Amino acid sequence: MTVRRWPLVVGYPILTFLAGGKFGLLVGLLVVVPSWFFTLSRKAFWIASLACLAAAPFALILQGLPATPVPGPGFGTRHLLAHALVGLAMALAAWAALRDLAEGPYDPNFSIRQMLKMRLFRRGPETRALDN
Amino acid sequence: MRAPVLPRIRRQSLGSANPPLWRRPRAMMWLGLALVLFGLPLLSLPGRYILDTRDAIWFNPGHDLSQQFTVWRSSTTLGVEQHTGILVPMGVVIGLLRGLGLSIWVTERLWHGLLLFVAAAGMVGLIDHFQRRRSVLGPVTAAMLYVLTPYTFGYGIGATAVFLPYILLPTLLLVTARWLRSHSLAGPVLFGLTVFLMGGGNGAPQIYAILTVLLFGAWVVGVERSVPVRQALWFAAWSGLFVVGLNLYWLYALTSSSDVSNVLSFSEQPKVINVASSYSEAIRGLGFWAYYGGDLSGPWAPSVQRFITSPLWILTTFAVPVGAFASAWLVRWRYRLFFLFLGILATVVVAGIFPIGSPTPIGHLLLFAYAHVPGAAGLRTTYKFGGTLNLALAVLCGMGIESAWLRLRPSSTWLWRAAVAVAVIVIVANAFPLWTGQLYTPKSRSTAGIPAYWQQALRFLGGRQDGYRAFFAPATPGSVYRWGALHDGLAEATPWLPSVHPYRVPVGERYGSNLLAAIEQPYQGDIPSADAATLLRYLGVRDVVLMNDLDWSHDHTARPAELQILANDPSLAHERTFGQRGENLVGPGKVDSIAMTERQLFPVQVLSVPDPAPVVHADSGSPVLLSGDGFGLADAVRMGLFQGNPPILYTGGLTARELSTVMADHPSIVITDTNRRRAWSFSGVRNAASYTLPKNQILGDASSIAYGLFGGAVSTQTYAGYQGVSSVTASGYGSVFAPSPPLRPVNAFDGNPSTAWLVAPYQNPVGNWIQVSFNQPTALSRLTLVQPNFAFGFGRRISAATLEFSDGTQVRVFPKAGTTPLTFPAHTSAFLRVRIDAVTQGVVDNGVGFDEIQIPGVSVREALHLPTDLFDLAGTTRQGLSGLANSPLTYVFERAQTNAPLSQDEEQGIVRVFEVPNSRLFTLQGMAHLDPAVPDQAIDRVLGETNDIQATSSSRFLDAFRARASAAIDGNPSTAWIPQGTVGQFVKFSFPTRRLNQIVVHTQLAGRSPISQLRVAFSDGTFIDGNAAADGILRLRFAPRTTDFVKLTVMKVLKLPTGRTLPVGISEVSIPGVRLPHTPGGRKLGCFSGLAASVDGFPQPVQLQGTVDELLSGQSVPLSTCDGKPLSLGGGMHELSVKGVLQPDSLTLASPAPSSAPSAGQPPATPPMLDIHAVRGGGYDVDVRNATGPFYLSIGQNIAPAWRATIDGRSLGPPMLLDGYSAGWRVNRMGSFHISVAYPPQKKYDLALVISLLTLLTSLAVLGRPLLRQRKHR
Repeated sequence: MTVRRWPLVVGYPILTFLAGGKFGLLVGLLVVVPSWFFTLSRKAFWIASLACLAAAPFALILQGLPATPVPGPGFGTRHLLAHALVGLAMALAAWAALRDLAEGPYDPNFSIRQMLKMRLFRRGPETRALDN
Repeated sequence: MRAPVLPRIRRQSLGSANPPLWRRPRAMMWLGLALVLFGLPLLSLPGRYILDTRDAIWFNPGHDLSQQFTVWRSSTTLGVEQHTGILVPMGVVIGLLRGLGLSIWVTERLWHGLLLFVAAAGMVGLIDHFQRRRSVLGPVTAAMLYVLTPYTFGYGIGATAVFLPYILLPTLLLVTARWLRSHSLAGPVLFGLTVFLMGGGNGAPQIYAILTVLLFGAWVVGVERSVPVRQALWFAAWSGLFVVGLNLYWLYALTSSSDVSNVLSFSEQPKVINVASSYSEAIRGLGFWAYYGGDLSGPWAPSVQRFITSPLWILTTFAVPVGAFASAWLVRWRYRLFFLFLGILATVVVAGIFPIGSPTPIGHLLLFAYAHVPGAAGLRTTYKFGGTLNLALAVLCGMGIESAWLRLRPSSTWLWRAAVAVAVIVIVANAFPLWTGQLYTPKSRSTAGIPAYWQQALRFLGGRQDGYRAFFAPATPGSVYRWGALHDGLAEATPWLPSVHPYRVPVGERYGSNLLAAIEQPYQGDIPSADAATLLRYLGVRDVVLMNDLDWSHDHTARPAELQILANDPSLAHERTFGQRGENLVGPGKVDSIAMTERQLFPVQVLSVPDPAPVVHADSGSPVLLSGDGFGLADAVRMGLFQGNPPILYTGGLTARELSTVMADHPSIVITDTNRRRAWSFSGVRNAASYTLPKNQILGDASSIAYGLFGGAVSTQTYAGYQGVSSVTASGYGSVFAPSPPLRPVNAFDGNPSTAWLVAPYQNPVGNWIQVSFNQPTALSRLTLVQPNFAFGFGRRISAATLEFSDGTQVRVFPKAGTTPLTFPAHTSAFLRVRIDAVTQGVVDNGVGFDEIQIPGVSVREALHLPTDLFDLAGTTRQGLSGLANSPLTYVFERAQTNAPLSQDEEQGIVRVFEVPNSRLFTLQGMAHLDPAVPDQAIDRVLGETNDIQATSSSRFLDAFRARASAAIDGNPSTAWIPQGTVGQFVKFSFPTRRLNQIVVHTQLAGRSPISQLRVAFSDGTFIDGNAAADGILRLRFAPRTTDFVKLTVMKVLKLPTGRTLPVGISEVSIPGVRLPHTPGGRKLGCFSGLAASVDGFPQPVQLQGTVDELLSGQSVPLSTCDGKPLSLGGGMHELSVKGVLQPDSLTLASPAPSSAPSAGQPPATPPMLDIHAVRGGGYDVDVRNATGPFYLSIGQNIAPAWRATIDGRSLGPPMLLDGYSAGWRVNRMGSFHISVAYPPQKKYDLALVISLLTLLTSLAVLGRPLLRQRKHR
């Protein structure tokens, strides 16, 4: 299912711009524009979000950890890759969550086992129903 | 949107009716939580008190609690409206525990354990509520993840008054979620009580907590639509009512205290707060600026340092948000999306304006709000929203793990076990400070107790301060003593002792803080102290307490040796010492020579002020009108101008009417070059101010300029004028860590190559610029850039720069080391900006810049303009003008010095522009010494050694005056020219043309590197190289030649066997017929002209009152006009300049009252007797006896507009600013009478306390009513 809800399509890039500046706007547009034309599953965004978040500590470690006991005030700016990854993770999770909110029914009857099976291990009609 | 279906999960039975404890998981959960959260803090640093919130509440809870009911607090800041707001619950709980006889450290651990347990319990309740069942795994996971975080370990546990909202946030959300749909008043009451229990220790975290529940309310009303808007508003209105009613006691103090604006202006600023709060740091519970900094003791927050530097802990901290996001995706429960959005929002808010160099649009919005929306700056500490972030992540993780347990356990054994195992590993790893005993680190921020000698000293002082104060020196940004650390300091920990202890950040209206900083100048700024007793009498000080056992290097404050400047002040008497000689005086490690002398001192020295004046006192006699600030007052006292402690009134604080009244008391007028237009950073206790700014320039926070005194009016300030140009500005100067006035921009244009503009040490200087704007468009086609030489040429320097002109054109240039002449196509420009494009690599990251930017035809001269407020004010009334013309008038000038290692003074001389009201005769006096940078021949001229022979040299060793060139030609072998350096140094003797054929040079051997070869050069262009003999003597015979100088250059120096290089020296040069007379050291100095002083551009002869020895040893000697001849100055603007050869420390221009001035009707010199009784709320009942004329009543408390005084119910009007800080009134009633001094805000505070108490009783009644009904029913 494509996403053609105006509040979502307009509001989301604005939010990502506010939180991430030009980079955020780019992310917002890269998410919204394809979703207008193509069917992109929510699961893909959740997985991408988790992947970015899980990659952040490794990015932080790879960009170098302080050798001295005092990390120094430049620690944040020396690890902008991790910063960007977490920002991206939040943006993707927010998009998936907004779509959950806008499109998907709250169904408390799905067990986590079903969820895991449906979302992680098996693809089927019910999965598509949830994802889209 | 349709309301979602609530997940209905049946309540599970977790056991039989009465199983044993160990078979009741919930009971075991509570027991385990209690054991862990109460027990483990007791195992961390047992026996030691850790800094937490306020020392007084731990050490003297009774006194501290009693002070919570008084809005005005006299100690330790000369008086300020308190807004601590820690009465409930912290004050009550600690007071009770201490009242039970528990020791400080046990009380502290129990308090901390209670906080952690309450937070955990709140989270357990919240998860129970969301699950609609009681379980163990999910609640415990959420509780542990919420409680055991870097926020707790690195911030909260040491600031529990600010931590309380974090502790109670889960409870507040639980109350909202549980009662939002209910029509019972119990919900709003519980909401109000929960906020009440958060206390008022800060304000921002309370607002963040309430914002969190508002967002929750907005979600259930606006998104879920499960609660009607009307019901939500009902809940919000009643809750708001109870919140305001219960918390009014601290809300009033917070909103009314003028001190809050000081805290907002000068404590944590956004660019510091968000310096490291990237999304990746924020989302894992870090990002708080203090986690990334450190000092000599190591990192500021060592308990969280591992989270930042260790890969394992980086992974475990990231595991929490990863788990939370996974839970938000996979676990279907009602509020999952709310908590996901809440977590994302909180992360963005915590990040704030990161990256501070280029904030996001939200960052810009925040900055705009801080600057323009009232109260928004109070929320700038965005890291405090970390509580909401941690809550959101913990709830998602808790719900996730519970679901995993319930749903996966029946079918997938490995999956749920793996999930639980990961959760346990993450919790245990993230809680490592708790179970490894590192909850309280470092140990240096704790103490086992106050030493016995201090307890004796405090008891001794307490018995002597009836009506007086004890002055604790020095000021300290922290309070780290050699025996341990306190949060605030000993004076602050002892609320029963009336005291004053200078504080880094200004308080109240800032006048008192300004004066205290001025009083500290001798030992913080290394200037002589004279007559400190006079200054201290104005403060009501009886005893001065020197805290020699402070770890001064940690606190960057005065060391014991510097404090001895006060001990050696002849106006103060030695009273007592406490402790053993050398006890807690010197730290471990290398001991320098100063520390060796400090070992002879006692840890506590008490000096006394002879004939002290009480805090509340009456001053009579003619007042002094002082134009300037506390620094001017202190300068004038040091110069002996305020003998007898006359009442002092700042002209900047007077109205025209008050001036007219005061003029009737025949005041003396003192105009000073203080209240300088400087930007104060208050980042430390010394060197915390910028250079003196031009009148239209602002640096940093505008309210910090000149302390913001007198409403920031420029007419009350001393400002810099740049003669010859319109302005000189730069992108920055000196270091970003501390202001560096000696490196200010104008130095690059002042024609003095010994001063420089330097920028960005330890930083990348590229992009920085300096700009000079001309008075009119100027044609530029060439200029010369002169760069300083750092690290013998191995330091950094500018290698490329761009010249920018007002027409938008640019020229790229590539400056070389040293001097670089530049020519370029002509530009007619209104300004020249030089932008740094590239710098060379250096062995040190020194600052780069220019000694000089020489522009042909452009010469810049800096002069300071004195305040004109008195002239402006006096001009508005007849009495003012006449008083100005007929009063004694003194100008006080003080050269700005800088007390920092390897730093020049801010000013090399005194150049002042000032206004004179009418034609007068002035006496010029002052203290001056030789300028260390003065050339050799100028010293000889000051000493009177001038004839047709001139001796110059390349340098003097350590700028010592005795090592100058003429010492080598004075016929005295015991004196010598000693240069700074060896090979290449030269000495030159000029004389009337003569014919020479020999020279004998005596080089020094003892204690010197031997000179082996010298080059002797002559004015005919010839030179001879000669080798010194083994006895150090070089005997040169050569073909006769005619010359008018001989120049000796050191060519070779022998290496010493030790390998060290010592200075070289030439003790005597024998040139036939060329000799300067030896000047006896005891000879009196004479009068000289044209070298140092000028008035309105004309040379002013001056005389030094000292001996040659005194001057050459670098001492300051008295300076005056020759033969005491007065200076005649007409009405109007004048300029006095003393600089060059002489470096004045201070100057005064004094003019007595004109002989025609009326002298009748002066107020009596004897003040009336006062009988003073302090009343609750900060006021006084003052019984005046036998007043024979007008007098000034000073209450010795910082001025605040609210102070009021009445006689028989008649108001004396608003308070005047007296004695540099105090509220006071001019009283012109005679005889005996009663003055009632009150601080009216106390009544409002009392009302706020009563309302809070009544609301509390009402709340308890609302909650108790169902119980009473139930009981009655039974």
